[in-house]
Amino acid sequence: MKIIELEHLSKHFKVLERREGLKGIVKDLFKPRHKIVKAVNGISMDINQGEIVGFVGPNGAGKSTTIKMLSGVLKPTSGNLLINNYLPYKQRKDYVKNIGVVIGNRTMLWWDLAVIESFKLLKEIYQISDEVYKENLELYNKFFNLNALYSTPVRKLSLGQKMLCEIAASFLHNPKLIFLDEPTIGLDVAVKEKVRKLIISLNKIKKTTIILTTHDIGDIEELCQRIILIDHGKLIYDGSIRKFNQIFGAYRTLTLELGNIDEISIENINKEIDEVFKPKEPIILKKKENIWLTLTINQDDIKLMDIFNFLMKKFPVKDIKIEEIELERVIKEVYEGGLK
Amino acid sequence: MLRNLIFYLKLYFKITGQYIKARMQYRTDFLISIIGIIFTNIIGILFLWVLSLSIPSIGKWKIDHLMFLYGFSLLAVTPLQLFFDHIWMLRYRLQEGEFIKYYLKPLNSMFYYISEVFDLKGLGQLGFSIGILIYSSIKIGFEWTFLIVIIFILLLFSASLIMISLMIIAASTAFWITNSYSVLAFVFNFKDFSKYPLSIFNTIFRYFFTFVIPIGFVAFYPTTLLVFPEDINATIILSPFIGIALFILAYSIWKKGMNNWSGTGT
Amino acid sequence: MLNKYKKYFLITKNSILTTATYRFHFFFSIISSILYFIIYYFLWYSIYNSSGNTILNGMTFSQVIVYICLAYSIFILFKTWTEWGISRNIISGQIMMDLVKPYNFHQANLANALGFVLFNFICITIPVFLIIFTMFNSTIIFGINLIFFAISLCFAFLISFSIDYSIGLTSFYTESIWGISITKEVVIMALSGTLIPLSFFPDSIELILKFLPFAAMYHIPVNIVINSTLSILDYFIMFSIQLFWIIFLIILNKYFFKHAIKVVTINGG
Repeated sequence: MKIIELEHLSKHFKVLERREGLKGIVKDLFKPRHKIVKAVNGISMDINQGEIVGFVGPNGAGKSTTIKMLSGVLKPTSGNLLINNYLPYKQRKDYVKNIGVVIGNRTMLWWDLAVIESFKLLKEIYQISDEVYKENLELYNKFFNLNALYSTPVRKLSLGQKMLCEIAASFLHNPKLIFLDEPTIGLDVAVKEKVRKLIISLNKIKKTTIILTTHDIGDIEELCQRIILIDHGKLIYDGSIRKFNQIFGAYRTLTLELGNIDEISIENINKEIDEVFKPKEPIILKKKENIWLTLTINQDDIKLMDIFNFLMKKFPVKDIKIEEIELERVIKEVYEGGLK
Repeated sequence: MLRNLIFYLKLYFKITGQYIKARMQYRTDFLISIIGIIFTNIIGILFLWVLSLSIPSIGKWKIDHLMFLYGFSLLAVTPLQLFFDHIWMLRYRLQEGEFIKYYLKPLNSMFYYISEVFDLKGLGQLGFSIGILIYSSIKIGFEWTFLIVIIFILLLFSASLIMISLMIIAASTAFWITNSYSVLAFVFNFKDFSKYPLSIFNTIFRYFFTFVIPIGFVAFYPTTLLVFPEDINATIILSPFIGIALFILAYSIWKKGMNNWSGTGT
Repeated sequence: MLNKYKKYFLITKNSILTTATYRFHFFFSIISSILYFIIYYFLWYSIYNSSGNTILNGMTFSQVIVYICLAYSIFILFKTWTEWGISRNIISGQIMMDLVKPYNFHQANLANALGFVLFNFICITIPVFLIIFTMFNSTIIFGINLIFFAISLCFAFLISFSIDYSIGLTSFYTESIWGISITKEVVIMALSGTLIPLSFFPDSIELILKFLPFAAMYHIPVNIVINSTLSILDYFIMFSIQLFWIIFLIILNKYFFKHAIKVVTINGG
C-alpha cells in the first residue's frame, strides 16, 4: 500500500541578490534583484507503508526542503503530493496528527520539563487514548528500559538519551509516518547502535513508514531497505539498498602513512598495481600532506589485503586506516554511471 | 467549535501548569522580577503625585482621574504581559531554527507558540493595576453598578486585544527581518502614550492615536466613558470592532509570516 | 603604556562595528525619541496651560522641555546594554572565556560600553542635540559652560557605566537580570530628573536627590546647559558630587567583583 505519492515535486525560492556597499543597500531597497533557486526540481517517487527509506544527498542538495514539503511545513511550487490521503500543506493540522518528526540537533520536547511530563502533554495534544498510551509506555519499558529517564528534565539528558526519548515521543501517537532527520548526529558508536536498534524495532512492531535523512552510511546500511539519493534538487538514484551495497559496500578507502613520500610518483604506483593485479576498475590514488597515501579499492575486484601486502613490501608503512566510502564519492560515482 | 475551544482551554492549563512548575526552580528570579514590575509602576504613580504638587489638574483630569486612567491602561496591557510574553523570544526561536516545531504539531501554531510561556511577573502587574483602580475609584466616588462592570469588562477586553494585536504584528516582523527587537520595543512603548489623556494632544495627534494607531482605545476612551460619560462621543462604540479587526489582521500577518519563513530554507 | 591599552581600543572598535550593523535599531531609536519628546511636549504644555502660570517651581515651559529632552537624550546615549551583555555571557558560559583572557574584566566592559556610547553619540545624540539647540536656542546658555557640560557628561558616563556594571555583576548570582535591570532603569528615570525636573519635587526630597548618583548622571549636565546663575562654587560642588560617586562606585565594584567571581569559580559557571 502506498503511503507517499510524489509527482514532479518542485520548490523554487526567490532569493534577493544583495549588492555591496552603501550604494548597494539603497539600490536593494528600491530595485531589488532576485534570482530563482531551484531547491527541489521535479522529484517523483512512491513509498509504501512500513518501509524504511534512506534519504541521502550532500548538503544543499534539497533534502531538507523536500522533507519540509513532505511534513507540511512548506508549500510546493509545483507538482503533486499526496501522503496518507492528505495534502500536507493544505491540511496541515489534520495531516500532522498522523506523522512524527525528529530533528537531530533540536528538541521537539519541552526543555525544562521531565520526560514523562512531556509525554503527558503529547498525550493531550495528539488526543492519545489511555490504552494506546499505556501500551506504548510498556513497550518502551520492556524493550528499552526508558523509564529510567522519565523523571529527568530534557535539558539534563545526554545527547544519546535525549535522542532515544525524542524517538520514543515521536512514536507515541502511533503515527503512520515518521521523519528522522540525522538521528545519530554527534553520537558515539555505542549509542548510535542503541538508537538504530530502537528505530528498527519500533518499525517492525508498528509497521511505521520511516523516512531517514542522514550523512552516516552506517545508518543506511543498518536501517534502510531502500535509498533515495538526491543532488541539486534532482533524484539521482532510487532503489534497493542491496544493489547499492553490492556496489558501494565493496568499496574501501585504504590510507597509509609512509613518512616522506615526496619522491614517490602516483603514476608509478598506479602503473605497478596495474601490472601486478590487472584490476577491472582503476584504483584511485591520492597524496595528502606528503605523508598519507590514500587508495580507493573495490573489494569485489581485488582483495584489500593483497594490495596492502604489496605496498608493505615496497614502502615503510607506519600507520594504516581502513574506511568505508564517503557519501560524496558515492554521489560522484552515481553521476559517472556507477548504478546504471 | 465548542469542543475545540474546550480542548484548547484544557491544553492551555496543562501546558501552563507544567511551565509554572518548571519556572519555580528559579524562585529568586521570579521574586526580583515581580518586585521590578511593581516598582516600575510605583514610579509611574510617583510621577503623577509629584505633578499634582504643582498643579491641581490637567484640564478636567484631577490626580485621581489620572490614576484611574493609569490603572486602566496598566490592566489593559496585563493580558499581553501574562499570556503573550513568548513573542519577545520569537526572533531567537527563528534565528536558531527551533521555530520549525510549531509547524509539526496538530495545533493552531499561534496557540502552541503562545502557550509555552506564561509570564508570572505579570501577576504583580495584575495585582498592582487592580489596586490602583480600586483606590482611585474610591477617591473619585465611582459607583460600580452591574451595568458598569459589564461595560468595564467589554472595554477592557477590546483594549487588551488592541495592544496584543499591535504587539503580535510587531513581533511578526521577525519572520522577515532579523533584528526585530527595535520594532517590538518601539510598539511596546506605545503603551506609555495610553497613560495620559489624549485631550492633551493637538488635533493631528488625536486623530493619529485614534485612527492610525488606535492607542486611544487602550485607556483614554474607555476611561472617559467611565469617569466623564458626558464627554464621550460615538467613536467608543468602535472599540470592540477595532480590537477584533486588529486581531484578525495580526493573525493573518502571523500566518503569512509563517509561510514566508518556512521558505527561507534553514 | 600605549600598547597596554591597545587591546581595549580594539574592543571599543569592535563594539562600534557590531553596533553599526543594527541600522534598523538606530532608525527606530530616533523615531522613539521623537515620539517621547512629542508626548512630553504636549503633556507639559497642558500642565503649564492648566496652571495658568508661566513659571512653575522656578522653571519656564521651554526650560522644562529642554531639560526633559536633554536628559532623555543623555539617557539614550548611555544605553550600553552592559548588564545584559554580562548576564548573557554568564548564561551561555562565555564568561569563562572572558575571564581567562589577559585583560581586566572591568576595563574590557568599559571599553565595550564606550564603543556603544561613541556610536550613539554620533547617530542619535548629535542630531537630537542639534534639533533641541536650534528649536530652543533662547533657553540654552552658550558660553564656557558648554565645555563644562562636556566634562560633566564624561563623568556622568562613568557613573552610569559603574551602575550598569554592578547590576551586571548581580547576574553572577541570579539566573536573569530582567527584574533588577528594569528596576534600575525606572529608579534612575524617576530620581535623576529624566522624567520630571528635580525642582518639581518637594524641597526636602529635592535636596536629598541632588546628592544621589542618579542626579549626578542627568541633572548636573543638563543644569549646566540651562541654568544661567551658576557660580564657581556651584560648579565645584557639582563636580565634587560626580567625582565622589565615580570613586565610590569603582571601589565598590572592585570588591563586588572579587566576591562575585568566587561564585562563578565555585559553581563552575
